[in-house]
Amino acid sequence: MRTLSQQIAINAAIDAIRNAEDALTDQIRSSTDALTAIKLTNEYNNLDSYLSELLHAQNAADDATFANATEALQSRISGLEADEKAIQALIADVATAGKVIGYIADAVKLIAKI
Amino acid sequence: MKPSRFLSVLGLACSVAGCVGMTQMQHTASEFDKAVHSTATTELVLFREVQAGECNDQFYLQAYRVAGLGTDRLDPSQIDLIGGHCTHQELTDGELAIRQKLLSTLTLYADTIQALSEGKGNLDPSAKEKALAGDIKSLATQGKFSSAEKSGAAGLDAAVSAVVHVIIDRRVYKDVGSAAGAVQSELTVVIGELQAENRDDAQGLRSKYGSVNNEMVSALKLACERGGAECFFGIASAHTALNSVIVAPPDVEQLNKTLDAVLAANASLAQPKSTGAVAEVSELADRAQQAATLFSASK
Repeated sequence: MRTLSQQIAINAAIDAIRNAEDALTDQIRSSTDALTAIKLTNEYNNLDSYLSELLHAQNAADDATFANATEALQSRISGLEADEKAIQALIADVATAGKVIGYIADAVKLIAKI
Repeated sequence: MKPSRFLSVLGLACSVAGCVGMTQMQHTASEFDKAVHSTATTELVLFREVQAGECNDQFYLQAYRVAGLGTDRLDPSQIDLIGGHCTHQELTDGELAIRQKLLSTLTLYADTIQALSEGKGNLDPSAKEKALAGDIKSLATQGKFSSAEKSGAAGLDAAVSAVVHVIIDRRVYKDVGSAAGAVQSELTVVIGELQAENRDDAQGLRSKYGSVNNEMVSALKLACERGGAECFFGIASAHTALNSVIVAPPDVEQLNKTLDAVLAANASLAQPKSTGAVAEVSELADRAQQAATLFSASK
């Protein structure tokens, strides 16, 4: 049976991913370089796929589904960390890049706790 | 609508429609039942939007990859233009079915309240109602509504079981007040779960909408680098797709406030004031109608 602290961690990770997505969307819209906008869109889609897995875990109706969803999430943590590095290289403004990476780093820590 | 106006509207409606013999409680319970059903229907619209959102997201991501814009290229032969095949990950069909049963718990309960207001406390539910209640009870017994512990409160499965008990055996609580009072805490748990699910669903829908939007924007940036007709028609197509195909995320907080109104109405039915539960049920009816309008507009 999943615990309250696991539920809280999932909810917080969902919020962190959504914050990162919103910040990326702002960058995509404001980018003057089409190829950068496309690369950032792909990073957004990566984050969206993590979000889907988090929501899948949250919606899980039984312990086995929850355990499988959690395992899948935690096995992809290195992928999230790779996304951090890729995004840092794409966003020229250091402060904005730092903000996005901060959200993703928060999500990584939270997913590890689930 | 203010309670005083509602009462005079009630009086007018009854004189026009012939409500002879219908007490205020019966009318209030009937309005409560209709509003709960309407709220449940709106919840189902949201659940379907979540699944449709996933399908749209998958389709446009495939299109992005076919165009060579994604992280890997997809052959055009692999894209499903009709959109028949879609994998639901966030809300699977099995999970949707369980949520539908959770909503049925609320609607069957509201039906019970109406039956009790009509003095039918000694009558069993219909065979169909009994079968559905039995299914819900079975899921609750198996722990299917929740695999999560809820500290300091009855779990969701226990709450559902308690509400089902009132639905199946109307003789236990023969009147509206005692039935409503008996399950107020349990209804709070059920509704709390629905509200949490709604917020999560909204997050998912916003993310999917953002995904498709970003794909459109970034593709247009490329298509419009040299301007021209291709750029123009690209913008027109994106506009059409985003307005008519993709569902903009609805305001789930309005739906959640409607669910709060269900609880307030039930609390009022449990301990009615001198004006009965008219004001709270009237508020619920208004909110249910607003939520229904909001969600049908977002389709």
